[in-house]
Amino acid sequence: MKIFNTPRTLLFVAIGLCLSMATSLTPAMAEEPLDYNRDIRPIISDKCFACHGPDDKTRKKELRFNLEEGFLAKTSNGKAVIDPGNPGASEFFHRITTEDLDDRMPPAESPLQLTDDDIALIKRWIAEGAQWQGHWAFIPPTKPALPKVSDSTWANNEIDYFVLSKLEKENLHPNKRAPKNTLIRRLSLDLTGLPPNPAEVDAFLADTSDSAYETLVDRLLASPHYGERMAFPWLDAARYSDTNGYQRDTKRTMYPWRDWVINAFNSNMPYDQFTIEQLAGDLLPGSTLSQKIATGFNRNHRINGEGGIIPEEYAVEYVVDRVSTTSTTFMGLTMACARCHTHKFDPITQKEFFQFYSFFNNVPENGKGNERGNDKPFIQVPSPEDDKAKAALQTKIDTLKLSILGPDERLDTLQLAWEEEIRNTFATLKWDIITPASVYAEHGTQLEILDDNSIFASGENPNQQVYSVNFEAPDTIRSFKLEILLDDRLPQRGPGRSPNGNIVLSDVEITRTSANGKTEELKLTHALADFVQDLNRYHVKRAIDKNQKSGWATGSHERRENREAIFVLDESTPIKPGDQITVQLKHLSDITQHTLGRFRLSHASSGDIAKWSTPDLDEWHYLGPIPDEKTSNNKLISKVYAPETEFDTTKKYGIDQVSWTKRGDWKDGSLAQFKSNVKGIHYLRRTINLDIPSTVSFSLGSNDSIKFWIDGEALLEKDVGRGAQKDQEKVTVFLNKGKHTILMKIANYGAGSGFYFALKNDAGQSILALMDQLEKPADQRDEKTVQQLRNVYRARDPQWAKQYETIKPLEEEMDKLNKKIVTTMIMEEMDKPRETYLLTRGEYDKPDKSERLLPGVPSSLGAMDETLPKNRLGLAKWLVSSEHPLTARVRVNHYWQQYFGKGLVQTSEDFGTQGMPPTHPRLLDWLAVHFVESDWDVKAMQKLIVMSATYQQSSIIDDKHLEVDPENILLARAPRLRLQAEMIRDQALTVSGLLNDTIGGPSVKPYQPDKMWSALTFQNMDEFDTNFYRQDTGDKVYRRGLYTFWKRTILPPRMQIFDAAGREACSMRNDATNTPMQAMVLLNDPTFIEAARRLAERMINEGGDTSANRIRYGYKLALAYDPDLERQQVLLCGLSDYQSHFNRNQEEAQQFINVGESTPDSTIPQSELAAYTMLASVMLNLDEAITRE
Amino acid sequence: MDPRLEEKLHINRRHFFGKCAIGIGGAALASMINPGASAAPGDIDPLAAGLTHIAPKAKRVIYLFQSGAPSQLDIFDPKPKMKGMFDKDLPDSIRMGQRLTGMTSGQARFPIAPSIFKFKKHGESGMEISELMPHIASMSDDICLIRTMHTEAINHDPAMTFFQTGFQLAGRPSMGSWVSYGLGSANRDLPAFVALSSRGTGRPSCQPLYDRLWGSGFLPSVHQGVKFRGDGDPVLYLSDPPGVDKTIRRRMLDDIAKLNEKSYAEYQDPEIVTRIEQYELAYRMQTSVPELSDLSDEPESTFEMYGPNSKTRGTYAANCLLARRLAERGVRFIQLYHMGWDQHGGLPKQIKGQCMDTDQPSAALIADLKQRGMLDETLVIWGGEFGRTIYSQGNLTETDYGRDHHPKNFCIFMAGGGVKGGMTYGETDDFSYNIVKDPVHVHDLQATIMHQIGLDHERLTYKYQGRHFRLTDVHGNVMNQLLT
Repeated sequence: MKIFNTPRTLLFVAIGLCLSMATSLTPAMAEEPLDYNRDIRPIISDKCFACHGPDDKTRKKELRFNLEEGFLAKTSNGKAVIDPGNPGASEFFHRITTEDLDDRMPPAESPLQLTDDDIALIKRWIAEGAQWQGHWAFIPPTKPALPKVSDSTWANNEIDYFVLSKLEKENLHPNKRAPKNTLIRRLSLDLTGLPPNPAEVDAFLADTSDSAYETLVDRLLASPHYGERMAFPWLDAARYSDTNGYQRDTKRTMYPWRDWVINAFNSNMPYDQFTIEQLAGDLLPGSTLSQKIATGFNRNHRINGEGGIIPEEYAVEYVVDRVSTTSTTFMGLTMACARCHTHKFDPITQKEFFQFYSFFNNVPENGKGNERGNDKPFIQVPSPEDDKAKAALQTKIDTLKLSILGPDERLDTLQLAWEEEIRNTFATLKWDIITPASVYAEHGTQLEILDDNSIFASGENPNQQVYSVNFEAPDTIRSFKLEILLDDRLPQRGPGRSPNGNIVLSDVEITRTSANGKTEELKLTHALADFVQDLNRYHVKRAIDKNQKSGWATGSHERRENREAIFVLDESTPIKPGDQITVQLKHLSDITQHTLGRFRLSHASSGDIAKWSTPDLDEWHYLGPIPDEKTSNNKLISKVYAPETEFDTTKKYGIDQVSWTKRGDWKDGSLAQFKSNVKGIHYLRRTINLDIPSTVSFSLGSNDSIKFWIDGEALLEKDVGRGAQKDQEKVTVFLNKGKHTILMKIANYGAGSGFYFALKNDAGQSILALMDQLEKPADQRDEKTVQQLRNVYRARDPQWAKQYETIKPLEEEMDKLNKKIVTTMIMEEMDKPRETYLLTRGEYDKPDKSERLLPGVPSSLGAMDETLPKNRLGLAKWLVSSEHPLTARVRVNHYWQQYFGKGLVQTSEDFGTQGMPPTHPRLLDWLAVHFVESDWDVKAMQKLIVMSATYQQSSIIDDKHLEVDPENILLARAPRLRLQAEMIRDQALTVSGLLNDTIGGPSVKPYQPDKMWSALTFQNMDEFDTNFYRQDTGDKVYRRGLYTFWKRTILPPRMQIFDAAGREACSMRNDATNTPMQAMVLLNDPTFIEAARRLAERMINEGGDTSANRIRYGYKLALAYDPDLERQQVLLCGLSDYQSHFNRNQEEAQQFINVGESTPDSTIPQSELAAYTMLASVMLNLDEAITRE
Repeated sequence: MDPRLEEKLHINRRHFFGKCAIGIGGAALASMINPGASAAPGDIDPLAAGLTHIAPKAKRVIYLFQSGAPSQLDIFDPKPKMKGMFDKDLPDSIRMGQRLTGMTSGQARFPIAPSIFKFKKHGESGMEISELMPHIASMSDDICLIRTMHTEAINHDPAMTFFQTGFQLAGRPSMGSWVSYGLGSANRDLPAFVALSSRGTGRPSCQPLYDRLWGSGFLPSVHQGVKFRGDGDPVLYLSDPPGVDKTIRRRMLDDIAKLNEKSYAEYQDPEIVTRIEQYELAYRMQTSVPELSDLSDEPESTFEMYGPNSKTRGTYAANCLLARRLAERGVRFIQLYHMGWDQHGGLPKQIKGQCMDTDQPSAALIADLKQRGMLDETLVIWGGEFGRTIYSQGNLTETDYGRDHHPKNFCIFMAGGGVKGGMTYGETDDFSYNIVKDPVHVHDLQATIMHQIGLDHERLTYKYQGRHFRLTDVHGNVMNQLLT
């Protein structure tokens, strides 16, 4: 290590080299004056802007060098920052060269130091007059004149003038035109991503006309595979993936969007339209399904559904991702840098960032994403067959429903009598409002009696509370009515005092003090409410069960309305006139502070309401797991275990000796997880209590198999492996009055387990809530009311239950049909836009509420036209307006990169001041303006580039190239490009004849090494999880790489090893590496072995009779040219050795040719096929095979 | 090799040198042009070459990442006063409105769950460690226990990503990639950065891992961690296909090389020479990786030391042993992941399994490195992405409880590589809920690891999208208090 003297200098040497290389091609050689943008700004931006740039929060000494004023200013002690023409009198120059380390800039502790070359350039620039320029990329391009060249015969089109004029200045000559074999392979790979076949090669070689090349270009541009080729880099930019990308990394379906992109390229959609539809297709007037699908561009970001996340935090990340992806893809700007503070280098303030953010902040989405498929908003993308099947089925359902739910003479007559009975019952309840004598609450809460005799609570609201209301009974009392009332003074208008307005009344207690002074508690026997939050823990009956843990919850956090409940005393102990009564309303459950805010009590002398109460359920008894590794999965559910036949809470079962335990924590209507991953059995048991006979429906879900009994009768048994979710199964049954036992058995096949349970249908509907409707005369009821009353009544009819069951299979079929229709996520605007504020330091919970921000674009990029709407549509139109400085430049640069390996701006993702300056600025501008003038004709732009002489050069490198321009900045040759990851496999599939070239559709799973996913993932078996890789079979294995299932957290290994973008965020380029892992893929991956064997079969079957001819044919298939004798000699010699090796090792030959799904050609002797397979493997491994010359 | 090609190989290295613009780190670069750096392992001391920013204390890092977040309360941070607080509510004065995960934010109470495990003082320093980790406790004089780690993320995915890449969202290079970028490889047959994973027995269905944790982010992909697998090929695509033996493999590789040399003669592209070299390196890895993964040359005493699972491929114990073998062969950054520490419920039972998995092998690794004289130059780190709450998640009984995520303080330990042994650093309150003294932020730990291996975390940067990125973002202080 003689080069480096001290460790410290090492990194600087490396950086210095980079810079000297980047500047080695500046006009310093050509002796032109220095150009500020090209030569000076990159230095100052990188080394000085962090402290003296756009960000006024961190700016030092009020010196800013991103504006011309900064250079023209005076320092605080009156010296000129820059004295044009006079470096010595310029304080700027003094400070970067002084020996005084206290004054020297950048400060010694900064890792960013100026090199001697930097200082020399700055000195020269000041001496030359210090001409300042605004950053080139923010100034709209104008079309430059073509430069003069001395040899104009070389040029095919405008591009060549710009390239050649630079070459001539550097005294370089362009390479010769590449041979036709090279050109057809280059063009085919560049324009379709697939190699040419021998017939195409021969046809092109045979076509000696002047238009041969152009004919070929036109044919390739018209190929449907052109769209696929163009789509791939766009998918990288748009971070397209088949999974959500966080933690569980569950599945999504965005392939309709991917197919939209392919189609857009194939139909040559102009780039302005391409932009508008992807950013704002939903906002176009009368937008089509296709235009909505296009907006998936901004829904391809990662979505987090991890259990414990704080949704607001991720809602912000999604919007930031949209800003970042949109600004990078369309404008080559790193706008996300301005999220936490004003951009350090580019003129984008933090406020402007959040104005831009505001465009994307109105999507009706949740921060916590759905882990079961697409996250809202999404849209169904039905095929025409889907539409037809659905319509037919719907007609069937409607007809059947009409017969079941429609008028029915028998039932309607019975219903009339039922309605009458209800009205009569409730008519006997004559309510008198109680006038309290006194009221009392604990813990500093004040109760106030209002004019209407309602009671209002204020003051402290402790966790637990008891209200007491005392009065003297004016009359005989059998029932109490509790009215719960909204009040503007309460949180969210109440009616409760908790922050969300909800109430949990744990107990109602009535005590009487008779005239004889005897005090006793009176028993309440019935309770009825107009609404209960659930039928279990929070049923109104729980308020009279003498259990403080349970209580009546009013659901007021979701339904903000007045509420009432009736409590009935035991018939044998009515209250007599003159009794002193205390009503205690207790709030003692674990749900703290859920107290009444305003309420009123009434009394009545009757109370025959038992018949009208709603069913209720007790809490679950749970037993499990009982592990059973021995029984096969599908047998677990039918095998009878002891707890099915006995219910004994003292007995213990299984190796873990589990017994029945009460589980009050599982909520009906929510998924419940067992904390167990073992293969085995879980039991759940509870009772349901009905005061009247009713039809009851249960919605069930299970992970995995399920069996369900009521009163010992099995009503459902299903053997299935799945994750639990609601409505997987439905059981409808007619139950008589009284208690019934529910038993449920869940068989878990391993990994996660759990269940879902909810009571469905109108049996749970409270009669009390229907009173208004029941009291309406029949002819004044609207349709909805008629139907609702009918449903409630018919649920109580045993015959009707059976009829109703007949709809179920049809509805299930409809469900299936609907689930089959693919959906894709789209952009949508909320009716009321979400409010956007600047987030201090970019943090989701630190909005600066002092100023609401409206959508807007950074002022440095030119204003939005007044007539444009201030939404995404306006934004998209602004981007593609002809005055936009960046859009066209960024796009043509990205295309250029596709053909030359690097863009004219090499940092294709960053056109800001920290990006690299363009190598051919005038060419870039010419192309950008030309692109806009062509009405953004994408195919025409590709054609223009590939028709240039620059593109058609040979890629041979000579010593002069290596010496003067090793990086091929000047383009005196065509670049040799390592094929992109997907192309390497696509090519092998094509040349072997394996390729299935179907376009579009669901992503597929080709070969992948075992357990790559399962070694790292959750072990759930949910259909949306991506924990176990199930390889496809048949011809799906041979689809193009574009369609390979993309799991974001564990990438397709071949893709990753060959440098594919990760798709976690927007990517505009990927540099090709050269690693041993790549060699191992090509040598050992079954994909390439199978392809080699198929290529071998083609050589033998189609290549003629001699080894030499077969080799030549194989080479032509794989590499599109006829190998020279020297190559043939190497291959022939190899073939002979492989052949004798496999002759000696027949068994190995057999193993080798049996790799892959397809069967080897049995007409070819095994050892011969193995030898040719090895030969073909050599061809597929060659540097030239994975390189486009 | 054709002498003409030999000469071009030299040019090729120059070509590489020129490529630094797309990001080969200084030291990595230097090793490429330094013929010594590609000699056989053991022949050279890469650190002596002066390739680092700072005089390094460690040549390599072995990071034993405990994925899912182990409970500090039950292993490393004893809170005796909690014994009397069973089922009492966590005082608001302690919680101070700290944000909760979506999993317990709906919980009505935050009842205190004292650890049921016994703590004892160990070693000369009297370091307190619970009965769950007897082997690690026996090494207490060699380890530096930090009780006051804290982080910013409250859920696994962002927290792990933060620990491994310095940023909560995907896209940045992992710690190992930075080291690979900064220092390059010390073994011409093996990558600089290797990742291994194992599943815990305490909670088999557990937090997943992601490629990005050992990914190279925006650094060139050569710096990404190479995953050594517990199933199938130890490295993806390492094995020759069925029916291909070494003789014919060698024979066909020679043909590939000949034809590639011919292409080189025609196109003169130094990249072709690199390709030839990569095929040779692949061939060598086909020998060196199986040799390294094959534990059959270890004496029985080794397996006794690492415990019974060390013979089962893919277990944490086997991975610890593999880590030592990788370390011996000069791999710079060896990243283990052990999954299954996410004990939201049933903690006492699950954590026993997790501790059984990791206690003996982790201690054995330290002892083994020590007896081989390698501990001084190897920095070993054990820890997860955050800690767990004193209050119980879900049902609390005398013998059972669960704990939710707790980012405000947790424990990790380090050993070897120039850190102080027998040191317990930092202090938390009686509830292990807040840091009382000497906090250590994730960025501080990262800065310290970098420092020990000879890299200045402020100077090891990479320019991407116009910004000079670094592992520690704009934060991080080297924790000199912990260093010898």
